[in-house]
Amino acid sequence: MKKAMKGNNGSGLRSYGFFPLHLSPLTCYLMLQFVFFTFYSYPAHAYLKGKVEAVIYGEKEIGAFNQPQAVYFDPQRKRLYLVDTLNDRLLSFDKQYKFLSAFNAEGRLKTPLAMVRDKKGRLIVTNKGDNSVLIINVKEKKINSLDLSHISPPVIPHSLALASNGCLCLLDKAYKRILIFSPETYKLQKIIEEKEASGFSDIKTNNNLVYALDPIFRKVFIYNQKGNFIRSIPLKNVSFPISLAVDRREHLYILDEHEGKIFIFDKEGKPMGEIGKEGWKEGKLYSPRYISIGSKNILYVVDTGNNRVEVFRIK
Amino acid sequence: MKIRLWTMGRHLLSSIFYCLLSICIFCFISSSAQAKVNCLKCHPQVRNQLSLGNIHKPLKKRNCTICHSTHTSDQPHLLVKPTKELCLSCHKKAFKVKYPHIPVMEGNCDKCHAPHASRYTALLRKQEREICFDCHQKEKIILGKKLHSPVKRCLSCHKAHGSNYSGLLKKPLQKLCFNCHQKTKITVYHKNSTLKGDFCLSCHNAHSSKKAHLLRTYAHSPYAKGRCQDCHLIQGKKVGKVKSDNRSLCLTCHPQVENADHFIYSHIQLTPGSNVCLDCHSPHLSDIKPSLKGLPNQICFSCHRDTKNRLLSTSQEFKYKHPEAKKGNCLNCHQGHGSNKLFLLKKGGIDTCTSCHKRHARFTHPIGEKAIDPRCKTKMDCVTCHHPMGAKDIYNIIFDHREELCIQCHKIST
Repeated sequence: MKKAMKGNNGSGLRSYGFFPLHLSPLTCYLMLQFVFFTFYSYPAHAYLKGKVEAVIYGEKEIGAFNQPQAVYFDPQRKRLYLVDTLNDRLLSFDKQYKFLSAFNAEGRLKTPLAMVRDKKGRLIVTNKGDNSVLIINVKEKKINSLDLSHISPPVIPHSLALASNGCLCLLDKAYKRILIFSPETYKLQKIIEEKEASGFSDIKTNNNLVYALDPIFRKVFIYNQKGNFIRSIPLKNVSFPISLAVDRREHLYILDEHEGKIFIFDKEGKPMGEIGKEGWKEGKLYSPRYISIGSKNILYVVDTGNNRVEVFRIK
Repeated sequence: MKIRLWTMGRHLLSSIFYCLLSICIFCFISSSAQAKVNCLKCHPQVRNQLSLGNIHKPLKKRNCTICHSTHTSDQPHLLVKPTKELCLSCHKKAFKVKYPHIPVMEGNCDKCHAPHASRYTALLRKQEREICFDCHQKEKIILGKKLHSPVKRCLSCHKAHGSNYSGLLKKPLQKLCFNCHQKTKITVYHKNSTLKGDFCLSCHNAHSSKKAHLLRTYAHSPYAKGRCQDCHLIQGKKVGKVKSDNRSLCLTCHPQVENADHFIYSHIQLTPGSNVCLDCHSPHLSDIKPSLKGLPNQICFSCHRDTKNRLLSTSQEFKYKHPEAKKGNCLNCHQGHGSNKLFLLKKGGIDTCTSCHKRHARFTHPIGEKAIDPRCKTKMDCVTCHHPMGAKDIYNIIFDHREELCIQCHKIST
């Protein structure tokens, strides 16, 4: 009873001195906490950020890039390959991003669009110019074409991805197909055809799963190596997704060409952060077309509109 | 003692508060009472409108202060809020729909409605049909002498403020057509084919035509020649499914289009349906060459929603837009099938622009190979400074030309 009467000023209302509106210290504390957590709590989508590690330009030695369309990081040799599409060449850089060499496969590269390097050191390149896939053995100086002639309707090669078991995945953008080839011999094993998608703009592999990005329906479709559909992840708040990357924790990195941003999602599709902003200065992106994950949280972004590659460290 | 002082102070504060509140209430009541009398004394043009048949309720009750501030305002006509918010504060029914009418979305209610009084119902500024033709060009709707009878009254098929069906239709297309046209008869006329989706509009123009039965003007050649079997399987007398459900059906006769597959940016590949060609082209009849399903902007915006939103946006960030983009003439600058130029442009950043802006081809800030943008070490072109799809400064300039634009590259030495 005494406790309840504390601060009673005789008017029937309790006063706690400093605290206004006759609220108890506990109520004030709870209110402050409520205000703090409502307005100042750390936004759930902002835990991953990117810091510019390096920016790669076409220096005087090699000339300016002309609409580069893809990069490939070779974890074995720790080299970065750039597909310099309208210059019809591949460029290699060391781990300090210093230029090493340029390569045009004796003039057989015609508007190259994507590339990977297999465990035997062969470069596999999709050629938009003649809609072929070249297998280039650099050491033996042999160039073969992947046999796609028996597949109907004819394959229109687009992106490439190499699974950790050596399987080669080829995206046929025109007919909504992902073709899976056996390791080393590259014989056709499986064709994934997806009727629920509007088509795919990019594919990547992670833990022997194939991830495919549907830019119109804004979804990522996931398949296993047998071609079975596993699940799809809807992508929130993206405008014009064009390329994707997947890291070891199965985080999805979605490149939005029109926004000039990379949106990061967890494996359930929950937003985890954003990298970049539309612009021209270093650290900004203008009509970027491709992303790839390297080792140690490094993200390579092909900033096509600015004719450069931006390297971000994800934090 | 302390407690007594605190109590006294509190009582003093509360009495001051109540005094101020009562003064406010008194002023408000007296000002609104005055408004009933005073506003119309000095605004005879509004007073004259009282003789018109339909009067806006607040004016009828002489409650001018519902919409106008008596003293000052940031809004034109001393409005208390921006037009959209003001109208929606009473007319709450509108407008949470999938497809809002653009003036509604932009908050330009006064484009169609008079704020005080009107001769026409719903306070329309003009007769219903005339108002529609203010924005929707008559010559694009009335294409020929054959008129669909409801075309005289737009609202018989369309909703004025917004709809959940595209084209601001009142109902899904087929239900709307079959309201008046008997489905059984129509099915017989069309050789018992299944009437699906936008079936009617693929051959008929809903408004008018030069041809009988409101048929669209240009026919796809196999259709014109009655060779349904070129594309369809024929089962007895019935026209069956198409021979192939993907683009290979079209490419057998139009192989030149396949060249677009060799470009970096190919537009003939992604499709929400199965045959990419049918996303843009009509296989039977069309009013727009080359057999387009609709106006270029209608087709493009069905996939490029973010560009549509940007072009329709009223945000200050995207205030200035290229007039051709605003009109939806996408194909003036962009290639329909494929291109090696960024953004699927016809000729590249400079040539596309200078094909119309000829003076700028001769006289402009340095652009091209010799002018290198120091921010990205790449050659400058028109889109280095201009964004046709919407920018915040005049002439579609991306940065404020008085402050930010030049110093992007030209650093001020201190």
